[in-house]
Amino acid sequence: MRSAVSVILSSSSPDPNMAHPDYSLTVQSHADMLLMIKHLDEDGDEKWFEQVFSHLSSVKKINLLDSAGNERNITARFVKDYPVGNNDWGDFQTHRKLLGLVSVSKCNSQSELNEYCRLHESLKVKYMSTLFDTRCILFGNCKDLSPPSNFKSTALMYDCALDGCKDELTKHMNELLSSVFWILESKLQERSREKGDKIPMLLAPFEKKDFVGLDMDSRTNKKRCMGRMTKHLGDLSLQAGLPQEALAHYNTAVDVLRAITDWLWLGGALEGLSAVSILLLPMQQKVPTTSTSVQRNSSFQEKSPRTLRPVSAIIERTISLTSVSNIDYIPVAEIKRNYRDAIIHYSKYQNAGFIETEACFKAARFALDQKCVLDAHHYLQGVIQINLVLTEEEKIAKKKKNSDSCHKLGFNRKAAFYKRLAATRYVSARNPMTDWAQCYQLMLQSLPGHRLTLDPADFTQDRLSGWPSLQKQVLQDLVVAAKRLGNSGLATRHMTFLLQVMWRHMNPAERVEAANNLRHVTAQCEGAPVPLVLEDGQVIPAANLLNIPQAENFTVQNLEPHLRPKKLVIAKEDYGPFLFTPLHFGSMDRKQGKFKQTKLDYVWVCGDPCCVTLELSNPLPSPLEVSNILLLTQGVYESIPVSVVLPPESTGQVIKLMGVPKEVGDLQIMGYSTHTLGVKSNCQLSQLTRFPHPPHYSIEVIPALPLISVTTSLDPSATCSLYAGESVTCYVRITNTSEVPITILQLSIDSLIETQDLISWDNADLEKLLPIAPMSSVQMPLHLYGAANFLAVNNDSCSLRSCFFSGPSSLPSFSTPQPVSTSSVSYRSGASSLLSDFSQRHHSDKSCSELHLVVKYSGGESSLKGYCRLASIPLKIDVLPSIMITNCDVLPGEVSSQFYLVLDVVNVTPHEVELRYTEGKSILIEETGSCRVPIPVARCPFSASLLEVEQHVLSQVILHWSIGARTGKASFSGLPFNIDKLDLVKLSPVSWELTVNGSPIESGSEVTGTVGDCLSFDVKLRNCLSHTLSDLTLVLSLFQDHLNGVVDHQMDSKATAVGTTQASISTVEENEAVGHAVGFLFFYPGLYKLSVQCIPKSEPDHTWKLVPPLEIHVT
Amino acid sequence: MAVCVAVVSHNNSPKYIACVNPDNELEFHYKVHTSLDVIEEKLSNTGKSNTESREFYLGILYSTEEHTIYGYVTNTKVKFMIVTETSNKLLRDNEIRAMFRKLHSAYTHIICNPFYVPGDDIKSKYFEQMARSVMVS
Repeated sequence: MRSAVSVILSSSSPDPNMAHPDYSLTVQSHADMLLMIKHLDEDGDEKWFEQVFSHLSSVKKINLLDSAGNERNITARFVKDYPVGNNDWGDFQTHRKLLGLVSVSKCNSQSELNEYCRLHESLKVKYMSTLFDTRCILFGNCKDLSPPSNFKSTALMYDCALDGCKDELTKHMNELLSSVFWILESKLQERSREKGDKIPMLLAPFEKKDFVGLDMDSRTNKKRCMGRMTKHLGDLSLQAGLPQEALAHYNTAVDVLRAITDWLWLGGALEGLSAVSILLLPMQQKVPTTSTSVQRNSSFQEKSPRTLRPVSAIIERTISLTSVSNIDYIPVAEIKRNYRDAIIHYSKYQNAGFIETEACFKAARFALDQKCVLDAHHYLQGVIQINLVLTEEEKIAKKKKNSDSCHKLGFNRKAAFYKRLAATRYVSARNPMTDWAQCYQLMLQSLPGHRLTLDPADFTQDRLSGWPSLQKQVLQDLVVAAKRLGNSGLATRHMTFLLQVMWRHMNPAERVEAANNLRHVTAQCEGAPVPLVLEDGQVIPAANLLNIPQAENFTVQNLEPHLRPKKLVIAKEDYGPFLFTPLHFGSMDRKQGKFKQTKLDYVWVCGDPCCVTLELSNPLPSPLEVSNILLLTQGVYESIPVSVVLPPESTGQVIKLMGVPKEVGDLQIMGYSTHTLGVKSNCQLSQLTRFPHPPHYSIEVIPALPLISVTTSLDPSATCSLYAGESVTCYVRITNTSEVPITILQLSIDSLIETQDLISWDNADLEKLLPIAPMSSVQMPLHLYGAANFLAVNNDSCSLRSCFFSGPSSLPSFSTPQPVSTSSVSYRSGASSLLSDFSQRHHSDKSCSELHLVVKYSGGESSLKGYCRLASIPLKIDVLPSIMITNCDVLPGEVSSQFYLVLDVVNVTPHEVELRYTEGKSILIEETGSCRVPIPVARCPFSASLLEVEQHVLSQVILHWSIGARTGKASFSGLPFNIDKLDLVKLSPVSWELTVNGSPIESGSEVTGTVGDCLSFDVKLRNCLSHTLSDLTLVLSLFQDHLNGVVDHQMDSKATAVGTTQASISTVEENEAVGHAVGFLFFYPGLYKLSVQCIPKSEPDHTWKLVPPLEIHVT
Repeated sequence: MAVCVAVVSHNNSPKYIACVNPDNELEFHYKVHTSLDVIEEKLSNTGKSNTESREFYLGILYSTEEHTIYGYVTNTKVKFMIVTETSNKLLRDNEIRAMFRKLHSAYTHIICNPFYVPGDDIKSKYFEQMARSVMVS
């Protein structure tokens, strides 16, 4: 504040008649004696003078004993300069009188001494009317010099530094103060003794012409003189250390002056009364207790008389009025009222503006001390309405003072408002000395009051704080100030900050304007995301353009599929007991967890290109050039800069930020950087809010992996067609295109369908190829097989059999096993129906398999970590049907150790097929033709299980087909055997040995007999099993087969048995035989047949027969 | 009669501000903004002792030669401010109170709108209409 005063006082041409407000005055100033310490050498060492001044002014309080022996506390106030205009108000308020003068300087020569003595004298003349005593203190080599003869003051000369004579100076100052006091005391005594009719009229400076021509002897005037003098005495008493007397004088003066409506002096008296009351307040009253809020309210509500005053305040007031004489202090509320009255009285005089201003500030300070903020505010508010003639600088000083006071009240918004006003004053058109630096500084200081800081981190996007429209204005002004200051870097920074922080609150037009402004500012200085340091050490944090362009999305991409590392061994994921649960336990946590997940579950590979996609949108209606978009990472990463031009008001422009990680380990992806509108911005993910994302991404970079290319000898675009059953070998070529040798190689097939039979390779071959050195290639064979189901399965299994077989019961009626003859006759009966039946299924069975051959490979360091890569190559294998088996059945063989498997084979190719169905036997089938082939198959042992039987049969049935040069094998699985047929398929558990009339007969041979002769048959049943058979019934029966489907079992009239045709056998040990003899006597010649069968009693359904039945030719 | 009406949220950010002459809007922004200091001061005094019985109407916040600013604070610390011309001596305290009550009920009305997010700027035709009526009448 003192500096503000010195600014005022050092102004070029101060009006001598003008009074200047000194905002530093306090209530205490009323009791101070005013002394000036003046540096005579104005261009001299300021610092040195400051030291001297602070030392001299430290002596500001002395205790004296007056003539009556009472102790007086005398205080002093020191100034460096004092306007004469203020001094002229000394009669009105004596503390404005300059009472003492101390001039200080360094002096080394006689001429200097003469000059300083002259200056000192001229100062004395300047303040002649009020000065009581003076000193001239000179330092330096001047001890021997003598002051000029006309120098009448006390000169103190020191030829040492300040430190050497501090004690002496203190003593001299004490002396000076007591000297001044005694003169003051004498004046006081003199004044108080003046007689009533001789009291001179005391006048304020501007009043002098007001009283010209008035009757000075009127009663009113006498009272006026008396009142004013009493007030004057009060002032003097206060300064002379007699506050109680001052109080009494002021009280008298108030009464007198009020009676004659001398408002200005009444105001003075009231102010003096207030001052002395405050000084007399006991300590506990100076620091208010809780009760002050009531007093504050009461005083405030007087201003707004609509509300009722609290009763307590009224009571307090009455107490204070009645007890004013008894108690030696006046209550706070009373003081405040006095102050207000004083201010009101002052305000009636335009010329007393500066007195009023000072009074306001003093009152405000007092109210603030009493914690009556609203009162203080009210006093300060009054200051604004005082119309003072001030220079621009004084106006600025006043605004600053206002701002400071508001700040002290806690009215930060108002303080900021005044700061801004002061700032604009510095550069207003009326101010001849515009000072943009000061303006900028004040603007900066006004930011906190508008809830603004310059750090973007303080502004979270989702929280509204402060007053956006004002904040925008303030920041814009700041930009202008910085620009005019010539610091375009600063202007750029503020403009960027404005765009970053206030974007939400701007309408499109403002945004465009701001962007254009930024473009304009950056033409002079580009913005970079580094903190700026001002000359005074203030740091302006970096600001970034987050909204131009706006990021809509930011995705860290996995590597391209063929580069993507996989785990060699995939750990089975634990899904818990539930595959899916609709319940979300702690759904809030999970949501946040998802948001905060920074670690990505895929990896990047060191040295391999990777990509981050960024979606940008341009909010401006003009094309936006964004250059040098880079990824911000922590970790060594080579980012490839991208530049784009975004079309006007476009959204979702996808930009791929490519780069190569150069270091193994975790890579932190922090955001991206742009360069647009001349500003380089680092857009951290943590600052982006338009889409959910973690504050940063973390991705693991693993060591380099090898890379291969895979080709096959097959045409990759064409389909490889195979006839069902055909085998082909192709070659796979694997080339290592990387610098890393391949040490692990695995092949697998990826397909939706079952492809085990379709393709095969030898893993041992694969092992032999390893390792594959960098930049070399290897080749390995791959076997393809046209796997297909050759069985055309009928929907209805019954119909299969009923198609042309007449059922197991009729089997024996096949008198001759004609179909199984060795001839190559094919049955074409029913072929058309078979074909039509088959053609329905033909298309569905044609299988075109698309499958991928997957090569899993790894090498280098990452293979140790369990990573590998996959290369896949598509294969298309089309399996064309070749031959189909539409039906099958089993017929008894020619010998008992064999049976015939009869198959209906259809050629479903458009070519002629040669079918080799058994050793040395083949058949040609025309295109789309069918034929029935018998395949002799050795019967399998009786003890074989169903599965074994099937395998036994399938191993013997292999159909070789050939279409031109192409050959293949047809094999099938799962023949529809049933129990009836099993008896045919399996070897019989018993063997028969027959003798006729003692001579053995071969199976299938003919026996001849004559009518009337008895043929005696000896049947021996031998157990071929490995265990004992028991409870068997041996049945021999004679019958005639008419070969027309009629079998005549009624043999009673044609032949007769000699002996029993049935025998019960209890047990047959293994490899033992049981015999039974029976004779037959034939009555007629003819062809007879004898069936021999054995039925186990436990399983009457099973019969073991002699196959074929014995034929007997009777003549 | 009012020349400016303002609604300020509990965290002292403007929710709505309208004035008769849009050219002077920024001036009113400043005035209303600085008046918040006074409101805060007044609330800090009375807030502690008796929150329930506190009167919403705060009276004159401060007055300049041109304008007088009145304040009104709801229980949820939403502030209403009305700026009148100081030269208009006809305006009585009761009328000011009535204006505030009108604004308060209009505010309550829009707060009841389920589509209004408390804390957002007020963009309601109804409120606009009410505010205008306060300024014109």
